[in-house]
Amino acid sequence: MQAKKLFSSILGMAIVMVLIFTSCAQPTPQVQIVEKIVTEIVKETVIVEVEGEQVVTEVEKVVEKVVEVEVLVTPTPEPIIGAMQSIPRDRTLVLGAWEHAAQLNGTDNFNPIINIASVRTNYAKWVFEALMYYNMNTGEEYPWLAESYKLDDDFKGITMYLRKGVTWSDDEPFTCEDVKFTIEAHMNTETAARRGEFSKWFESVNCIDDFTVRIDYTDTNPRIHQRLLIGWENHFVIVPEHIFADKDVATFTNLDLGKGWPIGTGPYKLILVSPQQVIYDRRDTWWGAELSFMDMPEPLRIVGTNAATDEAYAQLYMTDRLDYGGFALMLGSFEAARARNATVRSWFTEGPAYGAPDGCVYQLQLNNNRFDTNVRLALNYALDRQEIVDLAYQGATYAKVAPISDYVTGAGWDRIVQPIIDKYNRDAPSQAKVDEYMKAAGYAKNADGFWAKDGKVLEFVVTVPVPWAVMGPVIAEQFTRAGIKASENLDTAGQFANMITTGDYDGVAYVHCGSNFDPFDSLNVFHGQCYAEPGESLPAGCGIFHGHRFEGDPGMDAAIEMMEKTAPDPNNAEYVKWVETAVDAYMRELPTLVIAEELHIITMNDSYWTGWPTADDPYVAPYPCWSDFTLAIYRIQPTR
Amino acid sequence: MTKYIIRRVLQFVLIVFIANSLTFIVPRLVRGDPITEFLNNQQILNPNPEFETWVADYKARFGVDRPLWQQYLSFWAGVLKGDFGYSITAFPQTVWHRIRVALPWTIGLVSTGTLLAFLVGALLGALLGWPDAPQIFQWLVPVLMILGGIPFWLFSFAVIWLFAVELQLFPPSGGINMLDVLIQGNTLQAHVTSILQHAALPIFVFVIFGIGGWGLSMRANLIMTLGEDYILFAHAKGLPERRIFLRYGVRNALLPVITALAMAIGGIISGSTLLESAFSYPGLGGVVGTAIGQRDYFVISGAAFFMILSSALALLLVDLLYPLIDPRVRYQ
Repeated sequence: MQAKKLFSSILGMAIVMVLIFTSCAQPTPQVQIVEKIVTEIVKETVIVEVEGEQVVTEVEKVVEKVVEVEVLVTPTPEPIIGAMQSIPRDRTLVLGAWEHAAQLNGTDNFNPIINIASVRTNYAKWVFEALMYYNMNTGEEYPWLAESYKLDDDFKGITMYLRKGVTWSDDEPFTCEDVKFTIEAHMNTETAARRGEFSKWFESVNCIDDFTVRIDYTDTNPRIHQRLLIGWENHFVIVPEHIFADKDVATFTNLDLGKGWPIGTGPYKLILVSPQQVIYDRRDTWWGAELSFMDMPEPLRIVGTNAATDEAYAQLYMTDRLDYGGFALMLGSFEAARARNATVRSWFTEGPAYGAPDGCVYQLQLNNNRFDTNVRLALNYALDRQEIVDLAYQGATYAKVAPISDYVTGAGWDRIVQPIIDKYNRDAPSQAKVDEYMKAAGYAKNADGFWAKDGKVLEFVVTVPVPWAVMGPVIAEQFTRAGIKASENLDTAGQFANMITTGDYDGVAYVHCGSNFDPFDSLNVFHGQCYAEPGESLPAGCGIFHGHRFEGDPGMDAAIEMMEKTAPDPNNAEYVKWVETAVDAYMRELPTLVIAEELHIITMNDSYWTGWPTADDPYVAPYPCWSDFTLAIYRIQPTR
Repeated sequence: MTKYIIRRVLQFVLIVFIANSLTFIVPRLVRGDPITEFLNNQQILNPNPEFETWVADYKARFGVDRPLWQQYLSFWAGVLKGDFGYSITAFPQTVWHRIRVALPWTIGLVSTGTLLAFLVGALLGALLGWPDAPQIFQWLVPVLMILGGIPFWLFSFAVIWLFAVELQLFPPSGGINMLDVLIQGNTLQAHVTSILQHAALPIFVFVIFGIGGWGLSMRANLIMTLGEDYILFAHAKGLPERRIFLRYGVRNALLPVITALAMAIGGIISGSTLLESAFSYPGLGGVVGTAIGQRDYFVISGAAFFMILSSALALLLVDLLYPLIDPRVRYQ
């Protein structure tokens, strides 16, 4: 009986082992006859004329011949165990994903029309390419799949000229049909990432010829082309029409390594995908190198990986297991990593503000249904922005008072915006001004030292979602110090967006993300059209950044409307006048309380690769989750 | 006996039904709407002028535009077909995909840790409770109590710091490193080595913390068992100490511990969220933690279904098998 049991156990284990070995076996190489071009040096007899005489001579000549040869071909590797080549660590680039998670998000779907995570998080950007890339630091455009574009004078359409000679990784030519298909798929697929904007603004997409795309808009829009041509966090990549056309875009996952999917125009092919690592190998050929447009990128392999916590990313940097990215490190983790590994650095070499701007600012978004201008101004003077920077962010950012990120002000708008900011001098904490504005609002301090009106103490709940949790206690303490009875509500359940939409909040401490190209989008959210009465939800089309419930200012509204229909240009005197009007109204009314620039400590490691984008060499914004980061792959060089 | 089995099976079905109903209803009682929340957050990346239509499309796709009772019925219909729907926050990923890729890691980690902790802990506990054991074992009691009292995550960080960062003997996080595997030729051995290297530290932490509990409970059981008349009788008969210890002492003291082990095995799928988080281990704990934070109803319900099922199944098996292990318990 015992022997029988033992035999059964051994047999069971043997079956399991056989199954494992079978599933993991290397694909068997097969002999195939292929044509190969070989070069040979042959001697040829030629007659040449020397000083008027014909002489027969023998010369050597290089000729190309097509011959048939037998080669061993290994079938396309399976995703788990197979005949994948061994590439050394010093030719492999290891990138962290822009998230804290033990498993990469979106690795089962490489359809970038419905799964934006595939290009944003797991680095499918090495397979799919964009029409253009953009350097947010300088405003410089990098034509890529598109060579150029022309906007209509009345901004009611765009004509894009595509690069000739671009091919997909299956050698099919890249043409206008691919662009047309991609845009229309976004417009017509319910869950497509860009459906809302594209279907609202694009009337029609047509191919004038194989390399000329014409898009007619439904109305004047001098900015919608940015969604097609400019990267940033917006990812618009082109998919192959010849692969997607006969599929249901809403359900097509575009992932089948056996078929070579995903097919892209980029220089890398996906060779392995798992929830923990996504691995790409450099292709042998790429249109960019063939057209002498760009050299082949140096990394032979790119590995996208991730970690669940800030500490875990720091540990990966300490042990040289990560070259770039991951979710931005907190200051303490970054400095710990740098203390352990001297090759670790960030955008700035000197801290504590090591990080790069990400186009947003930290703000305390106010529910203006509840607070009039006087109370808002009192709240503003109760805030000590520098103290928030020092205590909450350990000095790793800098105070700010206008809702316009450094990318915008750095693009020539600072000379227009800064004098207005200086004129109002709102970043100057003052109890005297708090008292002045609270009294003007009809409040008086009660026996407990809190501001009250009609016997009711002014209370303020600072709701703060987890990513910005550090701001909550400091803001609440500052308000309380100024006589406003404040408390913190840590939003662990992620309800803040609903609270903003429905107006059920006093203030939410998070970010304000507006335009990265001109002040319009930053100011547009304060247009009175997004005002909602107390108890009502935000009007249609008004997202959370519009949820300040600000009634608007007539002069500001008019200026914003004019800006919307005009191409941004800091040299256009009329446009500048509208910007000045809107910024002036903003600074006067303070419909929200901006606190500081949002900087992220994007971490990079010079141990294996160098040439990362930095403040000293700002050839592209450093965010690995942004489309334009693709450019970095062509700049980095191995250190060993 | 048949009646007993039927009653226990019905009890099992009832537990699974009630517990799953609660995990369906409770997250939906929390204020707010996760789909609007999720799409609101998406607005930051992709502003959608037709936001309301977008929300309505998503709600229809997820079926949450219907009355709660209809959603509840759909949930059970899906469960019976093994279809848990789509994840809200990782759409178009299915709930099953999220669970499927995480579950093996959790089962591997927690079952290995549980069994190792049980074996070492029970053995140590038995020696601690045996009066003739070497004196040195008595010193282990406070050590086990201290180990059981240190916060789990703090100890994890200390272990990572020492073994992964300072000594660099093990990787600090993850479940497998395909980069290393490919460098080493992508062989089965490379896969197994990488998996074991990544599991070593979390299992070590798991075992160290588990030993305390198993050891102390085994010690208490053995001390009680040693006071029984049959042990006295065995001594009086002059049986060898080793035989009394193993056959009459440990064997009887193990009974309640085995019950606890069965229940611990049932809880394996529930995993160890904190441990997985500290080591960025790609198990179910991380999936559930994220889903709860984002109120991804469908992932919560799907993952909870397997957790409830495994725990209830373990309880059922204990109920059914216990009379076989301990003849004093009868099928009544």
